[in-house]
Amino acid sequence: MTDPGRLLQVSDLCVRFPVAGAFWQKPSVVHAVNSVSLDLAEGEILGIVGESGCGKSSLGRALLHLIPASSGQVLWRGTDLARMGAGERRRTRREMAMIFQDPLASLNPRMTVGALVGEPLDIFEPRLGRVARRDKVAGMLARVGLTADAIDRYPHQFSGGQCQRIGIARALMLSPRMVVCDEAVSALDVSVQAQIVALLGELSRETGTALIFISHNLAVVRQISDRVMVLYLGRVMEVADRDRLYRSPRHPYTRALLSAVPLPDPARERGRSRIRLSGDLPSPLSPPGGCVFHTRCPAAVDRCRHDCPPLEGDAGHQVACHRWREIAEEDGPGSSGS
Amino acid sequence: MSGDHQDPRDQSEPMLRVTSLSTVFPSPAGTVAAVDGVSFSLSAGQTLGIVGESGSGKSLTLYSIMGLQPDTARVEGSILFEGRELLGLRDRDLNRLRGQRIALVFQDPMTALNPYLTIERQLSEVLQYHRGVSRSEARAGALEALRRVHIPEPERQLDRYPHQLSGGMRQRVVIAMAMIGGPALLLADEPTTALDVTIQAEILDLLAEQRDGGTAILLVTHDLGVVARLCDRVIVMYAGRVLEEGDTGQVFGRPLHPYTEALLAAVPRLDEDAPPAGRAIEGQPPDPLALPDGCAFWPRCSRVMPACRRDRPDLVVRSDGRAVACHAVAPDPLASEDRP
Repeated sequence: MTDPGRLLQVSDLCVRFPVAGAFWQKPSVVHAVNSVSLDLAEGEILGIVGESGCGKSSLGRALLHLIPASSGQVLWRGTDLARMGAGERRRTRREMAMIFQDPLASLNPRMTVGALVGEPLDIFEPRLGRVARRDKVAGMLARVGLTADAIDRYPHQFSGGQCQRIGIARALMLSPRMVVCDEAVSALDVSVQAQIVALLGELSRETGTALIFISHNLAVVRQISDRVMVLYLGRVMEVADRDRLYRSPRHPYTRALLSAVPLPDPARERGRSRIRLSGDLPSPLSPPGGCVFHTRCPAAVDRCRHDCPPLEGDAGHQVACHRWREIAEEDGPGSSGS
Repeated sequence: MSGDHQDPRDQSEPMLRVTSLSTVFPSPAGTVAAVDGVSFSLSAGQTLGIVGESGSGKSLTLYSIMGLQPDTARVEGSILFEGRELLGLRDRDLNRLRGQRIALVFQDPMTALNPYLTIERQLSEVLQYHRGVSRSEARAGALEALRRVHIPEPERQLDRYPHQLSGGMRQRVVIAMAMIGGPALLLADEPTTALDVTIQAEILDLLAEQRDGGTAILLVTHDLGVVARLCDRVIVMYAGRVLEEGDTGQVFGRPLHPYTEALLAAVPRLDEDAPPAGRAIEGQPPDPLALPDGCAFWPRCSRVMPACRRDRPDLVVRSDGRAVACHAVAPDPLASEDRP
């Protein structure tokens, strides 16, 4: 169970938020994350995709222990985060970092870039000398592609892409073992987005830092991830090695998602058939029984309304669907790619 | 749609002809042209996409056509709609066109809907304002409008408020509002950017239906996939200017301008045989207050020549009907056949 080679071992993690209604109403509960289990190896890049409200951000925050888990376990290098003492948790904290969606909002506008990027050093290495600190900050800025004269400037003097570089420098300052990137490139223009995705991939490979890359953008996730997990209403629908997931998706939800993304190729785009989903995302206050996806699934049968399918398959490709084998067969041989 | 709006255009003239449109802002360092000499035309039932990154002037182009540019801005050039010049039109006349002949769909449906009004009131307001119909006629019209955008249980939705609807349903209501006057031209500013992909696909289908019904659509987006799905023609903008224009299939299949080429290469792809890696464009989009001399793209361009730093290239229409503003591209299509 406790394998120190694994950075992160998560089992049956649930995150629930109480929602206060009016005083005569019973308080209700949002099931943001529901029985999610996952492993993360040193240096691995795990992509987490899903639409709004699927629980991907809550999951990312719960992994860092920024929000408490309602149940389940998060083991960080074999030790349960929730049971650590204050000192040990603090030491563990420096091994994890986070990069946020809105680069400008996540940087204090009244701090210089030097102060922002050096702040983790002030907290964890307070005895570092002034010159050594400045060298480290300048070195980090250079690694993320910013010039040393950035040190004395303020975040508003930089473009969105450059601010995200500052956020990355700040996150990587203490050489963490894991960085959670929550929609880290979603606010950026495509030309800059590609720069930042390439930078994150390079830095992760060079330093052996594992990434949890959370995004709604399936194409960006494909670009950077080793493995990809698809979430829907707080539950894992499918998790697989990158190429297996994109080449032969098994879950009807994954297939519908992939078919909905328009391709920047008019000839191909117009000849493509799309899997249509019926209806809207159900409220996470009262997720449907059985398989949470059955209300919108084009392949749902009676069984899906009653039994919640377990995640099954080999280590390289797992899916939570009663009917995935039949669906793969309907597609004909070759496209199922088991 | 009433008699006084019979347009005097002859059939060969496009519905919308924009010529040398510039939207200029005053600044301490002189004036800044956020939209700089943009020209294009659009005919009934056609879909034209304007793509570009943030700050390229694509949205401002659209708002300038509607007369909705910021108060400090000055709009120059010519906007002929159904043979009539929109620039300099009195607000009263412009208001009669807006909502009836020209409609607008915004990125965020919540900003376009009044949170205090039921869906019925929002829709019937448009009908009462523009057509002066009675309340019961307006309710029937509102119901019909919701049916046309495939909203389930339309009777029930009429009495609901915007916050009770999902994002996708709200955008359907906004499109229903836009289409209720039977506009000839629909302007859409990033209509699907705030939506999830599965919902985006449905809204794009809905827009395609409006186009098939004869409405011309001018769509502003940063998503090249959305343009590929919906648009017949495409304009690529950078730093306020048009760098390339043409048939979507041609522009995407064989881009002429180095920026178009780089932009297409930067988009990460989902189709299997395409390279999964998006290739970044080096550098940053230029600061509109400090545009480089010559072509605005040269500091990031892979094919920069001495002339690019000095002279700003004009948009040249080639003999194959495509237009491009680049010194490195031959004006004669035969001479550029060897390009991949």
